[in-house]
Amino acid sequence: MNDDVRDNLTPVQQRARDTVRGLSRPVADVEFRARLRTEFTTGTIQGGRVLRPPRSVWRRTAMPTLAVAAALALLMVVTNRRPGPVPLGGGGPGTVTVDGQTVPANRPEALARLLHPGARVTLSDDAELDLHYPGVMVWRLEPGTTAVLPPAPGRWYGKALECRLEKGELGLRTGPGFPGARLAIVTAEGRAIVTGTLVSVYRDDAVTCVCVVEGAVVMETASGEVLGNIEAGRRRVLFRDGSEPLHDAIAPPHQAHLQAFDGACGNVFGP
Amino acid sequence: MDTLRAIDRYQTMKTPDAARGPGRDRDRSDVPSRETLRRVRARDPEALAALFEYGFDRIYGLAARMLGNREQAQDVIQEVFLRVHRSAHRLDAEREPLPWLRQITVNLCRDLWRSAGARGDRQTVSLDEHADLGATLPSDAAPTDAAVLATERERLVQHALGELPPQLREVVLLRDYETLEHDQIAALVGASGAAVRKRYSRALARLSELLEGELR
Repeated sequence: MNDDVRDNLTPVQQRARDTVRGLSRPVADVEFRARLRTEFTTGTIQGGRVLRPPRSVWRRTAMPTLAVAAALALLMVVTNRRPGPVPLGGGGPGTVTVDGQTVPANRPEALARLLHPGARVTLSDDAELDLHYPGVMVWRLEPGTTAVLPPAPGRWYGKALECRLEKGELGLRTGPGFPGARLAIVTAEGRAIVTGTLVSVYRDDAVTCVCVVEGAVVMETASGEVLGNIEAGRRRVLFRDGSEPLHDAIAPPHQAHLQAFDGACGNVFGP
Repeated sequence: MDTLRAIDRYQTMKTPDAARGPGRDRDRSDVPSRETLRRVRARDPEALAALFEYGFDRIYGLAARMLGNREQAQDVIQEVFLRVHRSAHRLDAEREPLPWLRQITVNLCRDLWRSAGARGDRQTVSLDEHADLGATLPSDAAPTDAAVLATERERLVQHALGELPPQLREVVLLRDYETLEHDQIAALVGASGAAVRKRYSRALARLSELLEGELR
């Protein structure tokens, strides 16, 4: 069975087909034909003015879109990083040890060269240190503290942060660049999860104490049990021996100490 | 000379049915011999001339009907022969060269359509633009009523072809003007046989609408 039979055309389609079949073959211009023949046989033929095929739809639309997306992704990566910790100033005659290198606490330029996100910092009992993550947060490391510093939260991604407090006391004031970030301050006893607040975390051999001056902090035990929020003006104490956690008001002297820290931070972040 | 040329054209217009419709190009008497094709591979001028004589009218007619424009058809054919010359050394002397020539021609016509589409040009042509493609009456020959009618009919059909989307136009021309089988068309346009049949059916249905009244 040939295609004519298989086509199974209607009478109208058959007439259309016959019309096309009846078309004559156009005759080329004689001069054009003769010229082309000569050029073809002698190898002097040049290209016609045939338009070049356009770039495919893929290349015309998807490729530029991908290029823009890649540029945006690159821009996001480049602009995501925020600067790491900068010492605002050391205090006391003591020393600060950063990743095993010890420098005087009152030499911020030397400290600046050593500090970086993830650095393990140990303060002697007669030193204190304030650190600024520009626009994002201010840390106060009290004398005798050992902590592993968190990274700065990214502008677009990488906003889940973690720092580790091994011993001593950290004060934290979040700044205008912090919202959207989630910082876990981890101790052996538990985790204080901060999303924007004024808080201090203290740890010694027996307890971890989280004091919240402003905002709220979610507290979890080391095993991941959620203990609920700690509201402003309250503190929660976790005991290493497994005793029932304590939840009460911040002691007035400590509240005053944290508010003084808050006042100092106000100068850093501006009005 | 002009008169002779005009008479030649008139004779072309009056070509008997044997040269039209199915089998139009199945006269194999002028197919270059294997020996000639081997010499084409070496770009022997005489062999190239034989290939030119064999292929020119066939592919020019196809290009002119596909594009509906004499100038564009000339550009395409010039490009076809340029490409043939450049790749003559790859010619398979064991096979008839017409499918190869036809493939290049169809590809270039498609490029032209796509270029026009990308630039937002019309892909169809008006009656006036392809008026020169129909059977042209010699200026110094006395036109008969039948000849005038035939010319007018060709114009209308070419106009209707120009109104078809390129994908439909090429299929109906390859099927009914070039008298190819569906599987040959499928290989030529890079579509499945089923797709080609569907396009062909749609093309004829659309043509029927466009030529309504002319087909009675």
